[in-house]
Amino acid sequence: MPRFTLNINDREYTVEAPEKMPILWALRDKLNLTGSKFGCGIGQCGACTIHADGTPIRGCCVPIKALEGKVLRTIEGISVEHPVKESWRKLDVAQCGYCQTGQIMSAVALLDRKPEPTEEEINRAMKGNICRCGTYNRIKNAIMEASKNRIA
Amino acid sequence: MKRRFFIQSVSLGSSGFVLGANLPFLGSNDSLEKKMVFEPNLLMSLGEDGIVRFKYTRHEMGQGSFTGLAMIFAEELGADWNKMEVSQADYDEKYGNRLYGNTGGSGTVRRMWEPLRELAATARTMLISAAAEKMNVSTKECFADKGMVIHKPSKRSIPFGELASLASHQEVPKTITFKDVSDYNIIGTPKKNLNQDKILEGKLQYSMDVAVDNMVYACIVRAPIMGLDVNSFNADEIKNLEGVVDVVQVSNRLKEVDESDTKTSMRNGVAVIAKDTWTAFEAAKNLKVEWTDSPLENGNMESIENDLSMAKGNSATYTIFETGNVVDEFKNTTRTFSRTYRNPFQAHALMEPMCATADYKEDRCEIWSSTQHPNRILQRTGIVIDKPISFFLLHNLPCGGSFGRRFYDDFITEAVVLSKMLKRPVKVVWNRKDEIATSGYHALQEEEHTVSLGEKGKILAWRLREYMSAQTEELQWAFPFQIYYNTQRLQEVVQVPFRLPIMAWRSVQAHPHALGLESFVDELAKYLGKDPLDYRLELLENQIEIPKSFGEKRFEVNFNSVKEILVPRAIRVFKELNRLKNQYVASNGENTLGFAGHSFGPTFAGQMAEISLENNKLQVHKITCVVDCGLVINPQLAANQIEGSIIWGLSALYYNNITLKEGKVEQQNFHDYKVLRIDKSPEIEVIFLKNEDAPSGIGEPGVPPVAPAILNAICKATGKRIRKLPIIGIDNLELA
Repeated sequence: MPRFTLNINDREYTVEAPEKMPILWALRDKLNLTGSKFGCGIGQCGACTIHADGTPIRGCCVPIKALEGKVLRTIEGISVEHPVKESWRKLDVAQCGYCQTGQIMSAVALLDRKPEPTEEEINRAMKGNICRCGTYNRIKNAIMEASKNRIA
Repeated sequence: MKRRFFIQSVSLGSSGFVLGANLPFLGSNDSLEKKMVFEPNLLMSLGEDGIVRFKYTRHEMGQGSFTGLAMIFAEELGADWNKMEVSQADYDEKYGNRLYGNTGGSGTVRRMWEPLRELAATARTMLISAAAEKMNVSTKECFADKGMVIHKPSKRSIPFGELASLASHQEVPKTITFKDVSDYNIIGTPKKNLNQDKILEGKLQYSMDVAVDNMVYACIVRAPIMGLDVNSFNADEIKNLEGVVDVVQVSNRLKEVDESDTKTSMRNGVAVIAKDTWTAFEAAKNLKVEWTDSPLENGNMESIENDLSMAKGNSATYTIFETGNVVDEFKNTTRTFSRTYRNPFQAHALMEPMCATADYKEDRCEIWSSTQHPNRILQRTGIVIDKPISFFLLHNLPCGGSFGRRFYDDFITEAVVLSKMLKRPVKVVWNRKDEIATSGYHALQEEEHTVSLGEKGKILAWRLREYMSAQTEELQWAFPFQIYYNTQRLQEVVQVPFRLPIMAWRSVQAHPHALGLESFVDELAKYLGKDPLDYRLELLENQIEIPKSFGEKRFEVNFNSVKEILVPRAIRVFKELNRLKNQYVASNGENTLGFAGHSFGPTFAGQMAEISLENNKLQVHKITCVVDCGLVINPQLAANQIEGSIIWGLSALYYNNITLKEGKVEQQNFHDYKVLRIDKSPEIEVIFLKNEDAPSGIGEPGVPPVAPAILNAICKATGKRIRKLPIIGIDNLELA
């Protein structure tokens, strides 16, 4: 079975896996990084969102092979004090929490790109992340809050 | 206050409810440590470190009762909130149904309210008597607060930790007194969701995250129609794929060993066993299964329409309740008004697909999964492998949403059966297609309301016929309660032989019921030329006497006691909505308003929807929800539940629609089973009416009013009435 070297959260990992295996399953089943979640397997729900070179990707659809040499970041690599996590905590956003790690990864990427997003930009960036508990309004408010705190 | 329950538990001694209080060293191997511990009941232990360790004996699904129950317990105990350590209890029959019953019906806080306070007050009383003994003062001069017992006159205090050992030697009190609501300093405050930090780190362990030594992963190709069995499959081809460990047939033998209903138990199928989840998923895609012929007739949407129209002429299968003589009134009526409303089949589409890991050994089977009803699923799984409930050790992990789905046993039975077969731990992972296409569903249902009208539009009789699947009867505990007892009424059910398994779904029967009732009342008001809110209040305030007992015995509902709680709540909620409406009109609001209110259990929720329509593009700007749910334990988490319920209701109104072709569900994933996304999420405001009665539930009451409130607004804006869910085309509304 092929071996891959991956840079995840500033650490180097070696993983033996089939070439076509999506990164999500390497993270979850091989590397015990289970913060990225499985939701749909076809890039429709965003629960598996991680960053590759700072860009949000759907981990369930991108094979490991395509990610060699890229800088990967997962929820485990976002600091506890990150303004996005702080605002999530402050607004008590999560209910069941299952989609929230993906939501946070999308939100972090958005704020890295656009520190002061408009509501329209938030909708566009977060539209790919489903939440069945219905925490959307709190997510929106938490992103605005984090944006304020990053700038302050 | 004298608690009958306590007198009982003390005299029974070994009831298990209050345990070990007089026997602090019972069964202890580590007696040195145990000596320092106060364990007055099954849920609590207090160490010398002053930490109150509290066990949560329900299922956390995002509804927040993990936090809520701990708050109730801490409040009544007089604990320091920051010194509470809360953990999930594994399922054990020792807790009994009272402490570890099912999690559902928005009933966790409602059902635990009394027992938790009884347990906590007992423990508090013992801590106070320990402190009084230590300070040599009277217990009457002491109280507990923020983790200390305080002697009021001298202001001396002793922290709980220092009282642990002594408290364990105190007698169990025969009577207890509950804290007064005015002394609450934990209940009613916005404490953070206790799981929040773990969630943000990606460290909260869900069933999906479980890994145990020597474990293999299973993906099951299930019968696309319930009841089909496996004829043959390409085992050899699949076994040769890299990473595949085995391919085995799983059969539901529940029916053979037991007469219990099998409609929501596991389907027959073929399991692909592999070394990781993805390999199992991929191999399963190549699995070719030949199924036995369908024992069911063809199930297309056309045949469902046929069944429904055939049923229209049928007499009732059973009556839910009847007052007066509605049948005679309709024989002689000169003027009727009748409308019918339709709710479709809907899937749960919970974020975390079902998952269970089982490790079957000779003497015990350990399970890691998430279930709303451990007793039921272990009993039913036990039947399949011929073992008692005590054979299982179930770790009931928090789940990524359930909404009724995890009441059922299928996915856990699958893991147990496979682990027994393969003699090693097996993790069964459902993919999204499994969850959408081979599950159980919210029932397709029609609600037909007819009234007989007399002079000045007075209602002389009101009949509701509900056309529903026979299986829906199992959800009788969720039959919604009436609030309009203004006339003689008949409510009856006509069963229709629909072919899909039916399961509980957030707000259950209240959802189709509210769609029918609250649309109908609005239509009737319009027909009679009345304001819809005034008309509701008119009906509510002119109630007739109802007989002390009436209706179908099987529902065991005391309609009078329900009426006593719900009617005043409904009146308060509609009056508040009226005030909001007047305020909106006075502020020159430009949008169209629609209203609806409904009960779920003893909670009543009403909503005001603000909408606009431009070129048939529907925009829901804001939904304001007014709730009367008794005492609010945690205003922050309670508001979260209402907000989430509204989003849930919007998904159902806009998109959710499971359809059948040749008996099979056509939808597969989020691309063809759409749910609401962030860009369509309206502003939401939640208003809790002040009420200090016992808390009555918050997880579901926000769902039922959503659809009728918006449909009523659409009708007001356009004159067109939509009576069928989901509506067609949000951006280009199809109006009849």
